[in-house]
Formats: sequence, C-alpha cells, structure tokens
Amino acid sequence: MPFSDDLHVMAAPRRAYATALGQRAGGSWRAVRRPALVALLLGTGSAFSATGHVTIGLLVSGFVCWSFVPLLQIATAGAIMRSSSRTLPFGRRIDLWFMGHMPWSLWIFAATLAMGTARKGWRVEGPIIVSALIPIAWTSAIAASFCRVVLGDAPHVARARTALHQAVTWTIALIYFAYAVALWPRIVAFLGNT
Amino acid sequence: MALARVSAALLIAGAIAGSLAGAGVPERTPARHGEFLVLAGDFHIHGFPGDGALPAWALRDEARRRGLDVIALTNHNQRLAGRIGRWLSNDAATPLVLRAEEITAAHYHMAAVAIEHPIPGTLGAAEAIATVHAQGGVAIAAHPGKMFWGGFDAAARAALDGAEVAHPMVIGDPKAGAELIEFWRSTRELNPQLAPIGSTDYHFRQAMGLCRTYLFAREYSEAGVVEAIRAGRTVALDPDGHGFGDARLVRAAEDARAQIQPPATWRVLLDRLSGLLAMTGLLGLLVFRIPNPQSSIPDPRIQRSEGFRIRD
Repeated sequence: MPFSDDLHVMAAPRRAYATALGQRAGGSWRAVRRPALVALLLGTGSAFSATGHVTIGLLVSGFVCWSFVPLLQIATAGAIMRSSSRTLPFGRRIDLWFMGHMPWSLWIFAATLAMGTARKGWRVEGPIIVSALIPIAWTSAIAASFCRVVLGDAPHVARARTALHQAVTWTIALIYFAYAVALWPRIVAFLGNT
Repeated sequence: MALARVSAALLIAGAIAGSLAGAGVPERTPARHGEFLVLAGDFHIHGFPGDGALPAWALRDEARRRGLDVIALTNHNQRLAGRIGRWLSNDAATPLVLRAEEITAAHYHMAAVAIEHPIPGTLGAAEAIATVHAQGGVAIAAHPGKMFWGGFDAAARAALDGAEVAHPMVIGDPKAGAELIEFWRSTRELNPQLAPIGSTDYHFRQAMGLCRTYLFAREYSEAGVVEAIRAGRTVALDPDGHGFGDARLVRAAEDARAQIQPPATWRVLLDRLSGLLAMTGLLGLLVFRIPNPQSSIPDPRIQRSEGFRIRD
C-alpha cells in the first residue's frame, strides 16, 4: 500500500524525517499542500459532524473558515521551529513540520466521524476529549524528533523548543476556547460551587 | 497516486451528491392556524467563529434543510458570528436568522433574541432581561436546570419571556427533564405568559431542530416572532416529539407537523451517501501517498550538520 509519508513520520519520526530531508523539495505547491489538507479536514469534518452530510457550499465555506487554524500553526512553527545551524527554505520547513500532523489529523477525522454518526442520546463528547491526550503526547514526540533531525538541535535544545512550541500553541488554543465558550463566568461558577 | 486521486474524486463526488440532494427543493410555506402562521424555530444555535461548527450562512441552509422557519444565533457573550453573517447575507432571506446572544453569567444562561447590541454576562438576570427588553428583544432562560435556579430571582422570573422546557440534555436523563419542567412550572406561577421553548443548543453535532419551538405568529418576520414569544403563543417540542404548552396550541402544532411532506427517498439516500463518500475520500487523502516524482533525488541545497546520527 502506498501510504503517505506522514504515516511513516507518525510511526518512526526520526527515520522518516531523515529520509524526507534527503529528498528534493518540489515546488511551492508542496509547501501549502499539507496545511491546505488540514483546513480541508477541519472544514469537511465539521460540516459532516454538524449536519451529517457534505455539500460543495459546506466544503468551501468550511475550508475558508477553518483555514485560520493551519495559518496559526504556520505562524507558531515559523517563529519557533527555526534552526540556527541548518539552512532550510521556509516552505520546506513548514512542509516537513506539517508531516507530523497525522496524529491530530486522524483524531480530528475520528472525532468528527463519531459526532456525525452517533445516535441521539449517545454521549460521545467525553471519550473524544479524553482521547485527545493521545495526539497531544504523540505530537510532542514527533515535534522533538523534528527538532533533532530537521533543525539539527541537541537533545536538550529539542526538548526546550518542543516545550516552548507546545506552550505557545496551547495558549493560543486556550484564548480561542475562552472567547468561544465565555470561560471566565464558568470558572467563577465552578469556584462558587466548590 | 491512483489511490490519492480516487480519494479526491470520492470527496468531490460526495459534495456534489449532497448539493444535488438539496437542489430544487421548493421554499417552505408555513402552515396556518386561524389568524396565525405556524412557524418552526430553534432559538439556541451556536455558530462560527465561536463554539459552533458552521458560519451563519451555512446555518441558514441547515435550518432550511431541517424544516425550520427561524433560528437565533446565540454565541456566548458576543455577536460577532451574527454580525459577519448579516454582513454577508440578505437580511430578509428565509429562514430568518435573528441577532441574538447567549448571555453567559456565572449563575444563569439566557438566550437574548432579537437584540441590537451585545449584553455583558456581568449583569444580574433581572437587569439583563431589562436590557434585552430595552433593545426590543426577548429573554429566554437557557437550559435552566437546578444549578441555574439560583440565578433567576423572583424579579427575573416575573420578567422572563420564555424558558427552555425541551432541550437535548433531557435525552437519557429524566432528572434533567424534570428540572426543566419544574423551572417552567414554578416560573409560570409568577409569570403566566411565560412561553415554553424547545431549543437544540446546537454546536458541533447534528441535528439542528431536534428540539424546536412552534410559534403562532401574526406575520413571518422578526417582529412577528418576538410578539408571539412575548404573548406566550408557543409550543415546545422535545426530542421524542412531546409538546409542552397550551393544549389547543399543542394540537395545532401537531397538525402543522403532520402537514409537512417528507423529502423524496432519492434525496434522503443521496444526502446520506454524500457524507459517506466525502468522509471516505477525506480518509484516503490523509493516509495515501501523493508521490513526488523527484523524491528520490537528494536535495543539494540542504546542508547537513556534522556528527549527527539517527537513532530510532
């Protein structure tokens, strides 16, 4: 089976990144292909989850609306995942970085499939949220491998850079979440009830 | 390459199938009951950007698909999604998408429907309701389970326009259902015109309109909807199809529901097929490789660092 390079990165990140690093980059399309696939995944998955079907309109509007997520990922990776010792074009670096997105991609796919097909009354949200621990841990391991192999970091630098990247990413995610659900009054209510 | 192309084709075929399933469906005409139009509404919908999956224009399409005449876009303490939707789409288009907000305070949640300006979640419930009324809107207690009862004092209960008595939280949880009914019953003792409301609290998961409100409105407009809720001429429908409200109106709402023609079988099949095809195609795009014809050629531009060994 001709499986994607991203699956190989998920299975054996260092070896897969080392192989990918030795290959020619290709044109600028390859730099945007993986981020575009993430936007397509979010747009299609959210449409299916929320409506149970997919139309051309839902596909296009979902892609456009959710493309802010890979754009933020590009911004954070572009700022933090940069090497002082190795010359790598920006587009190539972003392409290689997004090769490590597969754990989250599969989780998003599974989550939206579960929500779009679950029967009325099935409480799937709890297991979905708990299962996010898998891509969180897996992506951290892949990010550390990216730092070691692609950026050429020493082990302690790779760990520090990965921790910084995860901290920045989760801070941005928390800001959006807090805005979306009006988190502060809920915290006040929680503290008042405990 | 072939498998990736087949996957992309499946995704596109799914989207085309979904579009065809909804093409050419005639505009819904609301049923009549005496002098009133019987409108179906869902007044608790979350959209993008926020904690909802779909932007306002897609929510309108979904409302039409689910046989709704009016929805309210109620994001938490903000109206950005509604403003973007209104900016990009025709205000008078149907189904109506009403400007709204879910006022999210520490001790109560409230759908403020047909309002002009955002209302902060720092106000007490009675003060928030007064602000909603000053803007010409209606205030609906959102999922008023026991944990929120303390947020609605007597003054707030007397001023409320409606309360959610049907909500998906009751599915498989009779205690939650009993709490909603108890809030509605006890509040009606203070406020006999309190409108029973059925809402889905729609976020990322289907299906919009699972719980819904039937309104007996004098006109099909925002003003008509607001007037019907203020007058308490509503019926709330729970996920099992049980109606809450005045017995005569419940019967009229059931008659209106019975008149709705189900979609043609081919449309239903095409609709279901669209999701199956699209998600299969999406999975294929994720897992199958799109080879780079030049991938076996080492890139001479990349400088390798010295002394680095790969250990897996």
